[in-house]
Amino acid sequence: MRATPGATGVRGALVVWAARAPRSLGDLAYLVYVVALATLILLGPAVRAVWLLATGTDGRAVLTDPSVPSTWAAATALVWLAALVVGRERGPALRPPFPASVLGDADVPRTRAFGGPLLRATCALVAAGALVPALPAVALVDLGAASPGDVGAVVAAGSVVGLVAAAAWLAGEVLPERAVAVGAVVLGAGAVLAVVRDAWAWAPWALVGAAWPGATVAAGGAAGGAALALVVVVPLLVGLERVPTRRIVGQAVRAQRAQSLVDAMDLQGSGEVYRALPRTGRRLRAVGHVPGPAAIVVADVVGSLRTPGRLLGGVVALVLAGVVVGAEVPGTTLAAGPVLAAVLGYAGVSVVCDGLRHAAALGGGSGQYGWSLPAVRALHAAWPAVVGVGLAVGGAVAAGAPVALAAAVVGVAVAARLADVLKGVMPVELLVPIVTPMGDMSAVGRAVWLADGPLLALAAGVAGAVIAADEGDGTWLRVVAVLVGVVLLRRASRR
Amino acid sequence: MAAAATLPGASVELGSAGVVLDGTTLLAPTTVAVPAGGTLVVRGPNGSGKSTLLRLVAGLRAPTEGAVRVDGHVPDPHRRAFRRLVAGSVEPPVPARDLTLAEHVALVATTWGVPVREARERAAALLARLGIEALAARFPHELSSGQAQLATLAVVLVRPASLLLLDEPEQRLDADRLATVAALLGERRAAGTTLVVATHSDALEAALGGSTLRLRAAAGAAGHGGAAAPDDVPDDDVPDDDARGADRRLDA
Repeated sequence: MRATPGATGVRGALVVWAARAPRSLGDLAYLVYVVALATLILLGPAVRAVWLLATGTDGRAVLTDPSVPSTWAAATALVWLAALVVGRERGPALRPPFPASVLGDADVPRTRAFGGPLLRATCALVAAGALVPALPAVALVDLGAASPGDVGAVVAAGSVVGLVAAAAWLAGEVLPERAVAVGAVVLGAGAVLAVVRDAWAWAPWALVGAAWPGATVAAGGAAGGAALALVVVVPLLVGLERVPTRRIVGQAVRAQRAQSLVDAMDLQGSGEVYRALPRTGRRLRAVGHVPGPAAIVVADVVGSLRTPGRLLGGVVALVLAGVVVGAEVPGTTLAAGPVLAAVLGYAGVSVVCDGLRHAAALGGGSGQYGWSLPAVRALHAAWPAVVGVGLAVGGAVAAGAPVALAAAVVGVAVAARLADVLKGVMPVELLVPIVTPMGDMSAVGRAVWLADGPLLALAAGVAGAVIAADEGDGTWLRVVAVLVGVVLLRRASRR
Repeated sequence: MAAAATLPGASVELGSAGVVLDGTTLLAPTTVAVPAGGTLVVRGPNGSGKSTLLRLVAGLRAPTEGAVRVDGHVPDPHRRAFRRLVAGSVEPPVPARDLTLAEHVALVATTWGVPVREARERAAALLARLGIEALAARFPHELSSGQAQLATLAVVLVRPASLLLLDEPEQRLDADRLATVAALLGERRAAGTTLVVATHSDALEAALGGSTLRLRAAAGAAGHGGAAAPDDVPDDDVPDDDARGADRRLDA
């Protein structure tokens, strides 16, 4: 930002702040270059692939399936839920710690002090909400299953989804913890009911789903949702005025720390910043039940119970992983269930890995415990392994889904997560440039190292989908399992 | 003492042991011998090599010259027998974020073979000795920096060891707490444990007794500074060849 003589108030403070590290024209040009290349290389092909899928035979079957409105409604409720929960830790009305502190305590309305970031976040969400469903809606027009007017309705509804998501995000930052918890439960229940029973048709998310072409419920959700967003916006902005500066600055500090760790390619450390701290259950006895190595496992079990909300989320995800493992894409025979199960298993088991994270943090020469480091790691891996696979199998049994497939796919995904937790810091060798005719390829190695856990879990899901589609005998899943096993063993036995 | 069961002390020997890293002297060649059950206090300004010396003894770093022996063996923290000998805060214990302080201390004790009931009793008694029994049910993130330092000492002291290596245990402690820590260390010394303690505290040095090794600030380049000088040789009397890296000897 260029210094503006005479600027005062919020603008003046921001001018002074920006002047500390002015961005050169070269920096801006590089940013434009990176964004343009990323759009051309990553976004362009991705959009084209989605378009080809959407306008293909399977795409038509999926997009015209009667379950699409309820699925969109459920997805809408989940997006709002996510925005609400994220707002507790990282709200939209945020600036870097120093300006957040100065402006938070300044004699200016919060809507002015934080209006810029709030407006940018709202615009981004509205744009994303409009664009994401627009592509499949346009595909329906191309397939002759919808009119351009239908696309307009979908885009309008999507914009409202983004608008309400912005309101939910701000609500997470502004509302007290209990109110956020109630909102999260209501939205979670709404998502489940929308899919399972097509219920709560009066709810805002269901009305938005009704904007989909061919939906049997009358449209009008966009207007209802927009009204909802406008009704809640005034109380939220009033609430923003009353949020303690300490909370805003705390969020700003955590956001900055997490971003620094992401920049250093330490995703584990970044996640650590936002990991819930135990505040309850200290009267539960974690140590003193059993002697010997089992004491570590019991301590991990009780430790997990001390962040109950987080544990509940993990349990739900793991049970769902088993429930959905046999699912197919609506209107087709595409086996999407194993992929979804792997993703849910990988994500869900993370909440019971705190003991293993503790073991991973022990230095190579640590003499803290009376056992070797590999033994301590193995003991801390027991609880997540058992609960991860056990809950997924339980979910599969309850839903009548293929139990063996659930155990295999989620088992590999859980192992990938365990390996991820034990990953440690990035080897410096990956920073060495790899000069090729196409440029420096060292970023590829770093990207693979960074994302190997999710990639291996996804690979397990895809390999499971091959089995579910009767197109393979499990060879690919065995290959992925061996690969994950080797990575896990190497990291667990590292001295 | 309510903490760990006593083990016979371990001897420590540094024979012209030094560390030079990329041309920078972290520890000039140092010779010192601590008999089993002895106490060595390591003094010196920041950057003189106190922590490096402790890391050599803990086996967390290998000397680039000279040799280090603990009970006659090369330090190797990957050997179970060595881990049993040595406890310390050179590499501070990692807190378990979802265990209370008392649980963490007790869990560490159980992994060293202490029966469960006794481990819990030891943990409670040790926290009481350190004056932090009221913090027993707190999680690590609920401790202040001084309380966290005492928690670290509790985790270190609860396990049996023949050699205690402590790096500036006085950090963030008030005078009363420091006296308490010194008394606990005195009990361990009386029970036969060998102590090697790096400190900036005159009070802790006086309370621990034993011998003192004074390190001088490193000048940065290899062969200049960081020389160890025995307690009874004033720095002014250290000849020039010491400043170029020739080692000094001290029998503690």
